[in-house]
Amino acid sequence: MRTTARRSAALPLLVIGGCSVEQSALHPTGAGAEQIYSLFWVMTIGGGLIFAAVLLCTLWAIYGGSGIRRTLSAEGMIYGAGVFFPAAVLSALLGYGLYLMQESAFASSPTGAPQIAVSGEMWWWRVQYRDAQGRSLESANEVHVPVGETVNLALTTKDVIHSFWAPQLAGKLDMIPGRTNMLSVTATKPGISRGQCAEYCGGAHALMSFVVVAHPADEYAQWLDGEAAPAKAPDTEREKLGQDLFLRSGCGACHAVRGTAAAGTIGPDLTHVGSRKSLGAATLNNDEASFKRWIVDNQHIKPENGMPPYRIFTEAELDALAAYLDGLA
Amino acid sequence: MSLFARHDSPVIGALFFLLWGPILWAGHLTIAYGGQALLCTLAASSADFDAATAIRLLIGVTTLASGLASVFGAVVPRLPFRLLLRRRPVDADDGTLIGIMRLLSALASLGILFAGVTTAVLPVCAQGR
Ligand code: HEC
Ligand SMILES: [Cu+2]
Repeated sequence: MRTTARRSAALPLLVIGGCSVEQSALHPTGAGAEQIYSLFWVMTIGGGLIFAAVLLCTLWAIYGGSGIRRTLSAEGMIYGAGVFFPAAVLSALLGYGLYLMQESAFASSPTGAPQIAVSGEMWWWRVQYRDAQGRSLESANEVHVPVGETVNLALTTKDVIHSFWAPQLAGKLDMIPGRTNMLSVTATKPGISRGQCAEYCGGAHALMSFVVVAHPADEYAQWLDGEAAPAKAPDTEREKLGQDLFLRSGCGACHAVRGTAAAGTIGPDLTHVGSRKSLGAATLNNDEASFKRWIVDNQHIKPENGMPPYRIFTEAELDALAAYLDGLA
Repeated sequence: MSLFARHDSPVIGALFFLLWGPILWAGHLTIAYGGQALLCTLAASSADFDAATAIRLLIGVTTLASGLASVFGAVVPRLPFRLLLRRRPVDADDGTLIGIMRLLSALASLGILFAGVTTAVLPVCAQGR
């Protein structure tokens, strides 16, 4: 563990690949992404065929005889292939586009669907869940959704424009100051994928990613129950020491750990940070070694991020802090 | 440029004739987009202003007017020709000019129709995604 940590600290590039969860619009696992995926192939294949036909005609005109050239330059050909064909294709695409826009862009979000509020904050994501029982709870850098159920994502920003893009789930939607943009998503397959801020938002923009977890419906309820519970009390002496350090070192001014005195709201809620898939908005893996690296070296790992680096801890104290945080499952 | 430069007719007239459709199309786009943005802004600041009706009316009328004028140019190019060049078409050069003008007018008609239909089909002042 420790050697890996040291090795990757020497190779900052590895950091970017730290969270090796798939992020590809070509493997859709959500309703919106599936539509985009089919559209992508229709456009690519359609455009490819037309491009091939144009190339073929060009080659034909160059290498074919004068008879072929005469056919290609006939008035009927010019009007047919040059005017009517594009007009027909464009009209069909317009009709399809208008249909899609009515279906998605202008569709009102289903009322009564579970709502998740996601706020973009330089350079991480605050995620708040509100369930049917009116329970509201906060987490960060991960969006958990039930499979087969439409969920409304209320997208806002605390600072500048960000763009919420989970390519395997749906299309991207900007987060604009002063506005709440609603994105309705429906996961179609269980699994984990990755998302990314898709609007340049300053220094660490490239390291502003997140993880999408699609649970089977019954598991989702279970997960939400776990997430709603307060933080687990420390089990071991080491974790206990870690908690003391956490509370004594001012971490609680920015971070909340529900069930303890830490109630800060500037940084990500850490109540269940140990159960997350990543650290620093999908910048590092989530393990003890990464917690230690993050605490000491976060300004190198993720330059300009809102957390100061802490070099005051001894190795043993760091171990304890990391054990405590990793234990917050 | 024998196509334009003839001592007996205005060059600028020939240019306007050639761009009959595209000019109408540009006008339509300006009025449709500008008018829509303006009326939606108005609607946002005053509660009892019915933007939907005003916009549909404005865009309906401009689409119809510019669309018909553009189609008319494609179907009966001789009239605009005489209007703008102040003479009758005589030779092959004039024929070419008319051919291009008809083609551009036909395409512009399609463009005007596309933009007009969109306003009719989609919600007027809604913020899409
Ligand atoms: C000045 C406010 C501030 C203080 C104090 C602070 N943090 Fe942070 N912390 C942040 C912010 C902001 C982030 C999010 C950084 C990012 O990803 O852009 C963060 C992120 C983290 C994360 C990663 C969370 C996640 O889900 O990705 C951990 C773990 C963490 N802090 C632990 C600590 C510990 C331990 C301390 C005390 C030693 C501490 N923080 C003190 C602001 C603070
Ligand atoms: Cu960004």
